[in-house]
Amino acid sequence: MLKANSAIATLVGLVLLTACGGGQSSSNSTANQPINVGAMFPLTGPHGPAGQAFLAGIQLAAIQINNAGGVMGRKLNVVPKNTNGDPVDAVTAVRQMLAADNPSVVIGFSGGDYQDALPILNQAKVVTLTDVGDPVLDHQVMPYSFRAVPSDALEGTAMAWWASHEGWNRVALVFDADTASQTLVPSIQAAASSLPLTIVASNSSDLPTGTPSYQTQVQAIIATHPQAVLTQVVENDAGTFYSEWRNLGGGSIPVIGSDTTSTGAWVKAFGSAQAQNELVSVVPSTSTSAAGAQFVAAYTSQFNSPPRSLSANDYDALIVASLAMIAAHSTDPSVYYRSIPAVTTPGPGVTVVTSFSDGAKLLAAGKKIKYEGISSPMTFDPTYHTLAVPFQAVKTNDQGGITVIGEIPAEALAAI
Amino acid sequence: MNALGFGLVDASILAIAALGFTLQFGVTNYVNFAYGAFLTFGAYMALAANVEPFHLSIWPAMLIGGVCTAIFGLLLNQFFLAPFVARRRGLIFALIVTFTLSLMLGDIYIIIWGSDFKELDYSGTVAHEVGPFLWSNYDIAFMFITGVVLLAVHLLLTRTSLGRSMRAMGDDLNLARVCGIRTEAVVAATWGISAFLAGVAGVMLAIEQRTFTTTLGDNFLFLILGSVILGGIGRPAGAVIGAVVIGVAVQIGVLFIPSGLAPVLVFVALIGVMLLRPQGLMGATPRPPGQL
Repeated sequence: MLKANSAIATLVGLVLLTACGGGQSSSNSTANQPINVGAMFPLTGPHGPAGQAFLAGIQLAAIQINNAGGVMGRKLNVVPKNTNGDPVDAVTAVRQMLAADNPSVVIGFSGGDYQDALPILNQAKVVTLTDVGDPVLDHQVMPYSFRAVPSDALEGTAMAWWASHEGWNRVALVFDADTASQTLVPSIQAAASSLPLTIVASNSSDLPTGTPSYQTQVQAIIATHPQAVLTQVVENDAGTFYSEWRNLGGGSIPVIGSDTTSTGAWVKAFGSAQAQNELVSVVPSTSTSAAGAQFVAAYTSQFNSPPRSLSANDYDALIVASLAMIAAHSTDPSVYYRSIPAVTTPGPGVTVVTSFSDGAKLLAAGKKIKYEGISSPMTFDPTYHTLAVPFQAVKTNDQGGITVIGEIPAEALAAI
Repeated sequence: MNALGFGLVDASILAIAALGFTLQFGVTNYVNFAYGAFLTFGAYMALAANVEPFHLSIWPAMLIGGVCTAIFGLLLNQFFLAPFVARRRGLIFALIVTFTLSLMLGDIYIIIWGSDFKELDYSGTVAHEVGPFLWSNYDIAFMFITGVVLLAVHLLLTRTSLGRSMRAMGDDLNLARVCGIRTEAVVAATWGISAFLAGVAGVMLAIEQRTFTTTLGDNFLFLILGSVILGGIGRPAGAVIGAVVIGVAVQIGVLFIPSGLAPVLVFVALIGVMLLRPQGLMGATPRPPGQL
């Protein structure tokens, strides 16, 4: 009996020693382990091409951050998960990620997949920076969730404002049925009631994706004699719709697009030559066009194709999260989320930076910084974590190069 | 009237795709959910022939797209589907296998060809007024090709021993086997023909849409299924009639309902047919129980 008790005591002692040793070892290895970055996108299906390009934006940021020494010496590891653009698949992907990957930040989502997944992440105290423009979130308080894109309500209003500003008072709506496009339509309709703007054709405001042709819709719109078209459709459908648009005589009518239409890939689908005369895109303003050009060049060099609409937003999102971790001296999202406003809010004594390496150096020197993104100034509302930004009207070439042709002041949008 | 004209163009592409789908079902008696991926394969093979690396004109590229897809279909049947079907015959089992194949092919296509949209190289699109209709030269060419294909398939089914064997297997597989028909060879030939038609339809669809991605055929599959079921699954003439009804209904429908609801028309038509004539417009009337 005594022998048995001794054996049990020895065994328990060994287990405790092993546990202590293991804990020490684990602690050491954590310091060298990479920081997991969750990337939630539709990687297959109709939105797969866009999702792949948004993921590439994060991957480019991770490459640059790792080349600059990482976050407090730790490398970033991007963990892609496929939401399929579907809210149910997104929940499964989030649960898998939380169980297996312990992410410090999750970036991504879209209008079609975030609904149930985002509250789960917020409840788990994981910082999220999302591409969700859905106005439903405009007045929701979620402490760990930030939006790397402005609200679609603001963007739709800006599109309507630009049409009215140009004197095009009879407009047609051409939007696909995707949630990300559909959230723009109500804000355009609302703005039209405040502006001298009449929507003369709205039957194509929810085009089904992937149909063989849209010729009947095109002809119906042209018959209403619009002065301009407001549009957001996925690239592939843009190729179909606007080639038929020109074949049936709509080519001389100006087209006003959203941030989605401001990419080289979209311009190629629309028609590179025609875009220079017919297409204007309304995008969030940014004062860092040099950094933007560098981003386009680096992205194109890395992935052999120009970035898409939200690639830059997701690139900015990862840099913001990484700088916040450095500012907080922690990769624990329940700790560093408070530092996101600290690295994105302008103010006296704050140095504006446009790259991770500059920001990290200044933070290490004990300076205050404000990261200004290439997709937008990245200044978040202190309560709702939304981006309130002025917009610009731009022309894009098929390599993603952007020329600003006009400003849309935030005050003008607020007045509508 | 123009909406009717546009609908006839869509119907011409749909008819070729639906014909291929229904021929394969008629002989093998199972649904191929990977059929949309066959259309996509045809479009990408034509892209290789038409753009990089061969730079052929669009019409030989279309033929190459069809032939390559036929070979692809034969190989898939021989080495993937046939072993599964030999182990366990059954509609649901085959449906799951082909659905899985569809998902696999979708991902493989993205790996091979990327997720960006592609564009075939063709030019000279000119609109012509033909009576009350407004058609491009490509629209007219599509309808001509469809007419030729329909005639060829009709002659195949009615004037050749292969066609008679296919019809015999469609009526009663066991009886056809007992009568000495080499059913495995007929199944292989049918897969080849079905995939050829899918490949040609895929190239036509890629031209009609101008820009396309690896989801080209998958997006079109529900219209194909709608046409086939509406006309009577396994019935070639029914597939063509179903294609015309759906192609025209979708284009005319958007004049009266929001565009987003146009695909719903397909399902409304299907539900109507299922309720009133479950065997489809051209399907045979089921025999009463107990009657031979």
